[in-house]
Amino acid sequence: MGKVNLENVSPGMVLEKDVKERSGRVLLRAGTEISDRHMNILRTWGVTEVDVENLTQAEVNAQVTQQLDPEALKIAEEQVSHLFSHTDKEHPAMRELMRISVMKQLRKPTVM
Amino acid sequence: MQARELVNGALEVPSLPMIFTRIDESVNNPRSSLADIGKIISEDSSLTARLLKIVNSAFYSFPSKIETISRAVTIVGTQQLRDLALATSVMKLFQGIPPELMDMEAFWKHSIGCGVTARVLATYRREANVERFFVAGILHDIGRLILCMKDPDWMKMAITRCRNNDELLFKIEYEELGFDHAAVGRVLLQNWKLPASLEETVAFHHNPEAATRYPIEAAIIHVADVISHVLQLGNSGERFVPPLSSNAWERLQMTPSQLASLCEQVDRQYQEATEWVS
Repeated sequence: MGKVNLENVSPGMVLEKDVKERSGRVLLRAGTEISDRHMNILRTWGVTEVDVENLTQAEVNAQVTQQLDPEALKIAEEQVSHLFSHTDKEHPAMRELMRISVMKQLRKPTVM
Repeated sequence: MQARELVNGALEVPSLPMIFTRIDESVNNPRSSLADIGKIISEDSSLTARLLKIVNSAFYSFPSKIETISRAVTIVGTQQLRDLALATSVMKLFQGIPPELMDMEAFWKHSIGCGVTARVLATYRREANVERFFVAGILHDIGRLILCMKDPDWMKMAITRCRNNDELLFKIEYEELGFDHAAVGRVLLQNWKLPASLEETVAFHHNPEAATRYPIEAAIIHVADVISHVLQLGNSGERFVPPLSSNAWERLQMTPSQLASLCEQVDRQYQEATEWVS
């Protein structure tokens, strides 16, 4: 189904692929139901994304967006789109940075 | 006109403070001891205070407070302390640039933002001596200050053009002058006799694929510059996120999923680091 960021993974989800650490050693096998202890293992080893069954990052992002105020979201997206106008918006890293930037814009008013 | 002629032209360009040269000589002298280096730094009480503030910050999060420079030298290391001394010293050098041309506080905030990001990226990659990335970030746009000093009228025109047409400032520089602020920065660092790695990193921060001797360093500063624009940490005259070199991004071997936690870490360290400017 594709990778999901670790912050969006919760216990009870099932791994679709083996999780490996940097050097290639397997930490958890595909088919494992994720427990609290597994979450700790993943964090400790610096894993930032895993493949889980029946979920994609795009779906997670869509869910997060749904909970936001559509007006505020639209304004933030327009500002961010302008800020990024000289970049390749289809590049995976830029796409993620645009998402981060939108979320940051939306958080701003509460900080001030 | 070439970048070199611009830097070496009539108006005096700031030189590095004497104390930095002495620290650098001492660090490179195999016969000098840790105590010697500590003694030189301690002669400058404001530098001492700034360095102690940094080593006691979230940059290091040491379990106990470091009270003296001699202790900082042992724990942080001589090269690292030299790099931090350079980073904090250059911020005091450029005075007298009209605020309507360049908001100096915003300029150094962008530099710190890039430095902090580069340092975090380097930590992710487990690079040795991450302070050199911090200092490279501090210096990466320094050529723009020289442009402001040497040709304020041209710079004002370029900034206006950039604002009116939504253009990238570094591209206007290149188009009209034949070189950009990165090339100017390179000449300045050469004049200051700073290491070749710093010089190349600064020179190629907008086209890191051209860096042949220090490709990783250049790639890290390039990506850090992009991220600090995304997070809008300060501003050095550029109003848009500069284009990302996909070649540099691939060289870092990172995944997009690492960016969110990286940005959080940067935001946190940046807040604290900007207090050092004052």
